[in-house]
Amino acid sequence: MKPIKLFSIVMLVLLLGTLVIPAAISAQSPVDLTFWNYWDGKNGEVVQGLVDRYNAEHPEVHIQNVFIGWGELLPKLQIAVAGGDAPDFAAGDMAWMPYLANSGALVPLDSYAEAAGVDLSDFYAALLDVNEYGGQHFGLPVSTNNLELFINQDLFTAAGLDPQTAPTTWEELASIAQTCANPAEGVVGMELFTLPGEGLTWQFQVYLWQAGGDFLSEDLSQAAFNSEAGAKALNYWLELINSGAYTLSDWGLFGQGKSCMVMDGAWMVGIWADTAPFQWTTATMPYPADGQPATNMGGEHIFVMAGDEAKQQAAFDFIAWFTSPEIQLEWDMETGFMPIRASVANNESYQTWVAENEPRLLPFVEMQQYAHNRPPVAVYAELSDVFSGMLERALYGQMSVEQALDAAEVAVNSLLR
Amino acid sequence: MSVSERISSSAATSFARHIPWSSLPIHGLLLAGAVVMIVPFMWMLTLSLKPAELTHTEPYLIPTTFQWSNYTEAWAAASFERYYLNSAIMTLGITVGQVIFSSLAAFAFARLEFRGKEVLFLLFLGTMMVPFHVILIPSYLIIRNLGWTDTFQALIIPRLISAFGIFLLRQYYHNIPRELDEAAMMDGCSRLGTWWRIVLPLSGPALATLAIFAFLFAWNDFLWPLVVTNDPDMRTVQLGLAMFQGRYGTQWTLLMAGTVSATVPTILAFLVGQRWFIASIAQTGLKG
Repeated sequence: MKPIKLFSIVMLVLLLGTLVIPAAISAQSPVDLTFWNYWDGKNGEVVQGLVDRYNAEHPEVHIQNVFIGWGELLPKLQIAVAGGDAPDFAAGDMAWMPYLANSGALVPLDSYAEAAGVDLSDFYAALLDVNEYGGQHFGLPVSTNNLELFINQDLFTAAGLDPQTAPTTWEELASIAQTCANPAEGVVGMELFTLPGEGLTWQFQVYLWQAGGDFLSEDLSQAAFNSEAGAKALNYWLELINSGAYTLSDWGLFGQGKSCMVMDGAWMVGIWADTAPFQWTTATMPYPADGQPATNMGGEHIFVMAGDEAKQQAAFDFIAWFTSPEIQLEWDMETGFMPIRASVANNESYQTWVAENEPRLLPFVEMQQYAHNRPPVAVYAELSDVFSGMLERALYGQMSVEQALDAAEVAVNSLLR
Repeated sequence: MSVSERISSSAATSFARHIPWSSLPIHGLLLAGAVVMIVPFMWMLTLSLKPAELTHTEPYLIPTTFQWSNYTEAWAAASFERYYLNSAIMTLGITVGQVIFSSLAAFAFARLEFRGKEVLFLLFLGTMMVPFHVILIPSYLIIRNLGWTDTFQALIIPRLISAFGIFLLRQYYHNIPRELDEAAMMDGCSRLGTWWRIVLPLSGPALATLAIFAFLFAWNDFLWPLVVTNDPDMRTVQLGLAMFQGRYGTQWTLLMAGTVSATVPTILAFLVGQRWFIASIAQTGLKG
């Protein structure tokens, strides 16, 4: 019967097609190592260039640099670990490190570092710490950044403020923000991150540390933010809201030219240099007259997942090269990331480069030494969620400062237990 | 106002006499619906043609700047030619497969008598209630154990069967008079022959509807291709778009340029299938 013949042919083509086409496409090239990371745009080009150069200089190794979007990398890693086909090494968000190291999927690097003679003491201690579990390091920092103050100079001028003078204390910040705010135009003085989630937590931690407090106790066993410093920081945010210096709203006002000041990351320097339709500059983040300088840090850490020892060694060799002062110097200059090593931060040619090319990065470079890390506990993500949720209630007036901090302390402690 | 002003006075009077007052509310409602549908699209289109520094500047809905370089830049940001090819192969495989297999299964459920038919059909329907995320990891492990990661069979074969498609076509086949099959079989037509010569030619609108649904599902799918592909050469368009949303900010203008480009095939698919698609919706209203 004709229709049946035709039907069988269609089915056959369909089946054969799905089986044959792919085999031709996934041809095996002599790839030894797979490297996953989420560096995109300019950063992505720079890392690709470094990998290409390393491959050319080391014919015995071939690294395949695979870009995976920031939002997709962690789920992909989790699924790949479950399926047993994780990449040989990868670079991910610093905040993922406690979780990943505890998952048992990462290879401890200390013996490799020792054999290769890598000097860990040159890395900033706060950066190195987030990789350490049970006395072993499961990753190394490879890029970092921190939060400092951005100033919209056009709005300063419009409000009759001197666009060259940045506030240096909390008191000055509050009064300048109040003067600069213009509710009729929808302009706020100092933008705060007030949506629930890690964004709120990591911004608030800066104020907490500046006021002399800490987020968790030294041994990471319980909450430490329910303190005088915690209350001071939260009261300061409420003061900014109540004085009209900030109006509760979505995040992102500064980039739209609707906020005089904001505390944001070093990476925004490159972005706003290209896209902000207004004059702006940066300054170190003001801190209380009786407080201390502090900032929060982010960035990427690199870690090994390969099971095979030869691959682990080859991956570590690349990591040692990538994190070496010479390559880091180049990496930081091309990407605008902050130095992860004191020797790079203090390097004369690096400092000259920043001063000449993008002096607005100087406050960030200067303050990296005061950067704290978010507590390296595996439950940090959940902890940050409940903490920000409680703070949110205080900011919206549903709870007093004391009630919110008490409730957050109870919730955080129960997560840590 | 402007519309009525432009109409000459005599025409206006005759127009006034013929205003279909009764259908005004429904037209108003449809118009409002159309606006709701079109506004996000216009926003996307306008943003895709803006220079990045005007992202947060009016106007939002009507393009006044024409930065076509956003499109070339977005396309150059990754090997989108390759992604389109991958998406096209995957979408074609899934669409053809779903139409053929759903149609065969629906034919069996609608026409054949066998033990446990109703239970089996309910079981099929039941699979629609299982969220995809629940079976994601087990499905991935199967694909991985078959050695299918980074292949087209991983992208296509697990999605060849659609419970929704079987359901849709079975309902449609129930409305095709059985007498037609019986007449054909009396004339010596086989079971498969009736399916091919009688049922299929009569179900154009239903098949077109299913094809459009399958096309949209496959073209827009994100999670499954994300999970089963690691090789950049096996990525689909939707995965390619995700790269514009980075850790350190989203390139909105490029993302929108890429999204507009990625939407074109779906619009084309709808325009081509529209005639049957609308016919099938119209028929669902007639029957019963």
